[in-house]
Amino acid sequence: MLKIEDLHAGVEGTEIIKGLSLDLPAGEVHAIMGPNGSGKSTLSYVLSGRDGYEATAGSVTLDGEDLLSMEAHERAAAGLFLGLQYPVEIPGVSNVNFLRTALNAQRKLRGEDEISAADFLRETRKEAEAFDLSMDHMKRGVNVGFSGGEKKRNEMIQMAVLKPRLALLDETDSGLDIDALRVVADGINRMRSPDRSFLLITHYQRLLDYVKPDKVHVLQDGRITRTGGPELAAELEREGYVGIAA
Amino acid sequence: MTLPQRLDELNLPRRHEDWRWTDLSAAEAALSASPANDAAPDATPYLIDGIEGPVLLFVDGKYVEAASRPGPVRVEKGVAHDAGNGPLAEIAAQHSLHKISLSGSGQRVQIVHIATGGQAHLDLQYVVAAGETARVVETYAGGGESWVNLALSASVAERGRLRRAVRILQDAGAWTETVNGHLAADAHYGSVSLIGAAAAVRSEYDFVLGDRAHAQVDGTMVAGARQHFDIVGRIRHQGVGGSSGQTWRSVVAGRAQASFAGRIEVARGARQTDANEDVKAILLDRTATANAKPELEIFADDVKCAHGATVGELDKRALFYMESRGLPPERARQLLTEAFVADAFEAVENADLRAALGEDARRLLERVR
Ligand SMILES: Nc1ncnc2c1ncn2[C@@H]1O[C@H](COP(=O)(O)OP(=O)(O)O)[C@@H](O)[C@H]1O
Ligand SMILES: [Mg+2]
Repeated sequence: MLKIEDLHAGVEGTEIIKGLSLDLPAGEVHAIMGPNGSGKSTLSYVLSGRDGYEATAGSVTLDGEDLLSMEAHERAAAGLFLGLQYPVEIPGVSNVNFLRTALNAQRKLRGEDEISAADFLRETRKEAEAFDLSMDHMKRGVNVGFSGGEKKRNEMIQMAVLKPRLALLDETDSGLDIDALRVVADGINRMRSPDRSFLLITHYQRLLDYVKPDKVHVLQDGRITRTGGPELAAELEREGYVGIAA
Repeated sequence: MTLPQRLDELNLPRRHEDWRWTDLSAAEAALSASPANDAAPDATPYLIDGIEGPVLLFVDGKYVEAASRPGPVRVEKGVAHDAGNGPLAEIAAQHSLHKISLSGSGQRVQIVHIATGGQAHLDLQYVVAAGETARVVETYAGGGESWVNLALSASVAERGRLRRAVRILQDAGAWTETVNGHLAADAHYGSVSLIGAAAAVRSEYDFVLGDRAHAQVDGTMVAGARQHFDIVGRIRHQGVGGSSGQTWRSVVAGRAQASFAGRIEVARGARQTDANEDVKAILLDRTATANAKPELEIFADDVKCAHGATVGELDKRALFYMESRGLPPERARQLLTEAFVADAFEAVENADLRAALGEDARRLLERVR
């Protein structure tokens, strides 16, 4: 599904990702763990095509297609979803309108028909309920006045409605209390399927107690320094990133 | 002779500071143009769906009774009145005078002005009687080499209410207005202007407020290419407990310029005045300009005056967020700019009118993106 080979990338001429390779097969859940400032969010921005985050060497493919040559919205239509560490507030654009516009824009680019208003609303209601956000929240401006946890749950609703093939979730667990963490984890587990993959970017093991990853990668200073099974997350928790450095 | 020279020659009082952002060249060009004399003018294409009520049609400054449906609205021609301050208003008063008595009009009155070329002066007087409510939608259409010059004096008697929506949709030329408003005790005035067409627009307003009167003057400017718009506002609080608000949103692209200068004056004794100015502009290009100049002159105690002015760009984080969800960059910019200007229509209660203004704004924004 996602293949990253010797990726070098950065911001404004500063190299932050320094030769990163990763292979994420369809249906698998991988976790990337790393200390603050190791380049986790930068990686997510490079993969999703944010302006100013340039790859200088290496390649990234999604289902064999060159991801780096696509614009951000084309990557979304190709099936990539980025759950932001800090979701943005957009006053004056309602959540439902935003989501419907996004879904239909993706469908259009894929050559599919628009979703009917009724189907969309049904779907959105269902997911809002699943992630415990009221329809009143859904009608408000995107993330406007939402608590940190509500913003993260809103990201999950968007993911559930957009149904990406690959979801990058950047510290979706931070800022969530234990109940919200369970809600989010349940949502991710429910969406796991043989043709969908997840890359969970996280700082702590917390989320991984609820969503069992197939593999755990340790990101340090822009490189993957170790890869292992779920037990690696526990080891990290015990020994810290310093102790684990190879 | 240039128009500014002519204004000087007429020896009309002109605070030059109030004119520094104004571009009169499009108005000047119209002086040598002439009307196209449309044979059968029709207001229908410019009316807002869902709004019933009287329709008054003006073409090149002249009232076209045959194509109007005034209902209970009385239109009297040639009634001299105090055109108020302002050199452009004085020029308008030399050309045409229309007293429009809105009292008892009940429904929303739509006034359509079609410019076909040349100079079109329109001197209107709105009169709202005590305790009455009047609502007007003015739509300025047409275009070509024309200069539409409106002088409006609006007087709202005690406890009266006047709501005014102004859509400037004429596709070229200059459009200027000088509004003088007198609000008696407990009177309310509220206007929303959509400024996006025409090459140059100058809107000058001056409201005098009595005890507990409220004036709300809102609007949005959508400027692209070399369009040049400016607002020169003056709100004079002269009674106790009056309030005012001015909310302006501008989206400026290309080499266009949108300016706002808003002066709030609180007279001696005008205690408990609450005045607010909220002016925001977004520049879509580095070559675009937005000016904002608040001015406060306060001679009373126990007064709240707030003003905020910002000039910025579209929120890059929001743009990326939207694109990461699949919105093409143009669509993301469209949603953001539409949401931004919609702040200025928030006070519009009528859903049909708000929708029409939103639709107008959408079309105007499409042209500048
Ligand atoms: N826009 C930027 N300009 C310059 N440096 C940046 C920018 N964004 C991030 N960095 C730097 O890149 C490194 C990685 O940051 P980030 O990807 O946010 O790390 P993480 O998400 O792992 O905490 C840090 O040293 C950070 O200071
Ligand atoms: Mg981060």
